Amino acid sequence: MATKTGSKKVIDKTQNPQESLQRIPFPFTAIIGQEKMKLALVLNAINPQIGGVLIRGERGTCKTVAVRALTDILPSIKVVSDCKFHCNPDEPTEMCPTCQARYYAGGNKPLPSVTRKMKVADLPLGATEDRVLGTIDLENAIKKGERTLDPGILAEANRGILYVDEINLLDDNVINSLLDASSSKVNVVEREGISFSHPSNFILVGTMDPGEGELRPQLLDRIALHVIVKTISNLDQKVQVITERNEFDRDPVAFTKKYEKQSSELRDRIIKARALLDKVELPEDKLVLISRICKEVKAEGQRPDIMLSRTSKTLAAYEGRTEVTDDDIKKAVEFILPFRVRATPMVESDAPPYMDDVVDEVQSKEDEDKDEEEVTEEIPTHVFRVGAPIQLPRDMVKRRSDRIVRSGSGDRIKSLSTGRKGRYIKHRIPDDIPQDIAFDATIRAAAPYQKFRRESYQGDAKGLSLFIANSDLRKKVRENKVSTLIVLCVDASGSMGVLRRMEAAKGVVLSLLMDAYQRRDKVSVVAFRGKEAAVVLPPTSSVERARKMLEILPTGGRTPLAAGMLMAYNLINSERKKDPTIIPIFVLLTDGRANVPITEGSEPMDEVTEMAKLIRDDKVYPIVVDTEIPPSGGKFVDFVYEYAQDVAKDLNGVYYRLADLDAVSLGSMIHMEKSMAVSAATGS
Amino acid sequence: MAVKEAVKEKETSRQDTAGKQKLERVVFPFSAMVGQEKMKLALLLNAVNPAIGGVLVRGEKGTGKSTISRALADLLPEIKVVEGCPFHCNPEDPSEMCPNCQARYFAGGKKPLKSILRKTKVVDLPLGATEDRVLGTLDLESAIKKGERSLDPGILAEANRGITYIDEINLLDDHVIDVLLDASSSKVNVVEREGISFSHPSSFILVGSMNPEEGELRPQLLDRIALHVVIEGVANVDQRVKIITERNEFEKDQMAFTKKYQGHNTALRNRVLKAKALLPKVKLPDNLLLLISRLCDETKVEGARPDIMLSKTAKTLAAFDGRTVVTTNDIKKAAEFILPFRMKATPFEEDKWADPKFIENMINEFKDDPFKESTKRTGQQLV
Repeated sequence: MATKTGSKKVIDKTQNPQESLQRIPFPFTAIIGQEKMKLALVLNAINPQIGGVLIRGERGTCKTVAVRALTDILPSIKVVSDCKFHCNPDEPTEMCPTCQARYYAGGNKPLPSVTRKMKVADLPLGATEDRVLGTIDLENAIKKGERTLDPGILAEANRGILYVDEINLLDDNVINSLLDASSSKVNVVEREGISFSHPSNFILVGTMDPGEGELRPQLLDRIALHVIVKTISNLDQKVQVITERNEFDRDPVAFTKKYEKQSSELRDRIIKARALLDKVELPEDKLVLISRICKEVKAEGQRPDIMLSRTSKTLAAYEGRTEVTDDDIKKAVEFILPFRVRATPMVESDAPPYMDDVVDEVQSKEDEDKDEEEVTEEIPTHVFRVGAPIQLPRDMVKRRSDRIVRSGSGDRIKSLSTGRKGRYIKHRIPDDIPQDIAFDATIRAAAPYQKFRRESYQGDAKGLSLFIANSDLRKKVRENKVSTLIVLCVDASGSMGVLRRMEAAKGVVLSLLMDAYQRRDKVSVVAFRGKEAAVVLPPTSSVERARKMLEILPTGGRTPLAAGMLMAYNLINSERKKDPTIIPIFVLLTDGRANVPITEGSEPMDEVTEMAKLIRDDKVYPIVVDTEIPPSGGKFVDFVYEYAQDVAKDLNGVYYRLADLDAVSLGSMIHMEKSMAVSAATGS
Repeated sequence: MAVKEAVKEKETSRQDTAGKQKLERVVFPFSAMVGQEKMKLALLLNAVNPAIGGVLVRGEKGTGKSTISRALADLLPEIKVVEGCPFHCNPEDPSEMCPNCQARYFAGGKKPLKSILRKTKVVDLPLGATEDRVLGTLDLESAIKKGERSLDPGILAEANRGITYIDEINLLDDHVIDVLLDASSSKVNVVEREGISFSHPSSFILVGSMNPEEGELRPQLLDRIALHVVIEGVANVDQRVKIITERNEFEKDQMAFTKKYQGHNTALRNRVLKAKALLPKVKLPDNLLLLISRLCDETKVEGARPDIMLSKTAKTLAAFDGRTVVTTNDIKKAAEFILPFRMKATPFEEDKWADPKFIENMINEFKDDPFKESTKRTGQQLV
């Protein structure tokens, strides 16, 4: 937008408030509190190479406001005029192929350019792959018969900020494209007849509410700074937030003016810091310190090291210094490391405060070669080894091979979607006039006849450059994965330690995981023990992750069964938000002896019944595996508590005893449930 | 400057419109990569001998998987290609030509076709690629403008006699994988769509990187890729420090940094060229051939593919070291690249071959007598 060339201009243009209302962001400097978040954003504005910000927090914590406000304080950049990719006019390595060719053709002279603000490009959740990556330019194709790229969001975001609200809910396909571009800084488009690549170097800023599910690990790793924002609890500040907001809504222009002085101060500071950045020194000993910290906390890969060095340098520049101090490193560590430390499930770790000490700790260590002692606290728990997996029979229940409803390789269930959602995989000749036209294929179908039609068509049609007949129309065939999500809710309380129940249960979990791996389903594990439940394995199809997690899952404490069920229930619902077509299968492994309630004072078993009913009414396919093992091992008639059976009844689910479980029964059971679920979901 | 030349070449040979343009990237220099020796070796071996059959790099986040795979492009030797042929046919060997070149070759009295020297290409296959771009499709422009049906070559054409690189290969869509599998086993891409019927050679080296945390790779594809390398983060503090400084220096001035390592890269490229020349002379003694078969038999790997891969890799290793005779050590190194992932019956049985000395022990046992009765060992319980 040409009107946005400078913030001054934006204000000048506001004579007609009706028109420009939405364009005025809330001033960045007027945001109260949330200092860490603001700092993280400012640091990225100074040094785009840091690598983005991920803001986690509940709703209504100013996340989005702050990102939008960022536009106001972003520095200006020079861009090649008329270039869709906003190329850098001076640097051929940062140019798109077209600009590169022009640059060399013109004798390595900088290309004509304009100066404008860095932009924030939005990536909405509903964005389709072709909008994100770019697609064939229809207008050119129809009018001129030429194949050109219609650039997507990744082009728009080049040399700017790519903002994704609720990044954790983003579609998997879109995330894959993001991963590619964010690491290589190049977007390669190979679709719909277009083969093009262009620079796509952006600062990724995402916000998420962790209550709605986690972010994929690979993407999490790419975003450098992680900030947790909390609702402001200070009453004075709260009041201030409300009054400010009201004032802004009443007269945004005046409000912005009021903060203009502060804003321009911050802008100046950013510009100064940018200039200073090149001169900031990171001495050898500080570099060593950074590497040792990363090694100490066992952060994965080399990315954290590089991120730390850049962030601490930028912090120094922001403070107007040319030397990095320990304090800078400390601050950078708080932004970067807590989320990258390999977490042990169900072992409480106070990540942020622990981080604070790490720097000092590493520093005070005299001998770096000395073997570090593990800093894990003693917990009164056992970690049972994983029992031997049982071989599940394959294809106990044969799925109907209905080519129209589901196709695809492997065992993944796919359905060809009827709506416009899903990935465009191929095209076909439609039965009637299609809604979802595959333009590339349609044009290609029409193409060979153009010469003939041009000659034979009469009248008004003669002026067209492309003649399309009904018989040319092609329909997009889209594919949606109907994936199954198996949520295993595992009792990890002390009673599971008796008679090696946990070992057996882990064996069962393992068999299930293996089966899911072969079928490429997603599996998630929720464990509960002591006072609480936790998602120990976020939905994944990675066996390696699952196995590692199982190996270290500890047992011990009391049984908060209802809490575990609630956690699983929430998990299923948040996954559903991402993909409404998902088929959840809920497997509960417990002896059913709940003895810790969710809310203090209520009856644990009543809560369980309540939870069971809640889950039952929610189209979840429940299976209960009773881990109660008769003391005699089934040789005699034992007196057995069958609490778990009651839970199964309340859930209206299938009930099994761990002791009775053998290969055939568990396998057939799961598959039966699945095929039922699938046929219910696909309506066949 | 490499970029400039590449662009010039593009300018002169460009017949396409704006719909087809590739960005020439400045890649991090291969020789500037710190550590990760095994991965570097695996990639170099493929540069020496494309017949080995690709590399799969698996490792955790941020370990330089993609960086190093992309860096390989700069070290690849130049090849002769038929001038103007979109499939980069070999001008001398009719069995490696597309139908058009073949016809010209035979019509011209079996004389080599007019050719140009060109760098081996690394072609990116992005995750969002659609089937028509991978296989090739009807050329829109010539169809509209001239009313002719001709093929608009896809990625499989571009990748012929080069490298196909897939980042996050485990996330690739199944229907694209199917197409890839087809082409990689037959080395021919058959296009039968939209009134186009054409087949052309498509022989490429598959290089992929993946993070197993995000899911496994399809077994068929896993089997097709010869060398598997597991890469881990660098633990050594000095090396870590070096990585930070190098990377920051590169980001600051990519051209200057690339220049700094030009000498190293050239030396490495020469070594690759020498090894390539030496390769046809490398001998694999009979007893070692038997050893290879015994190893494959012992580990119960599927099919005959591993045997072939092992012998090719061992030979290439010898050539890379400047030798003309394969040693047991070459076989050991090759086995470490090839066998472990194929022995893995299920992903959970990792522990059974986790012993790093496993392959070495096995080789020591059989190197003198490949027909020796095997003693009780973990390898026996594998299946």
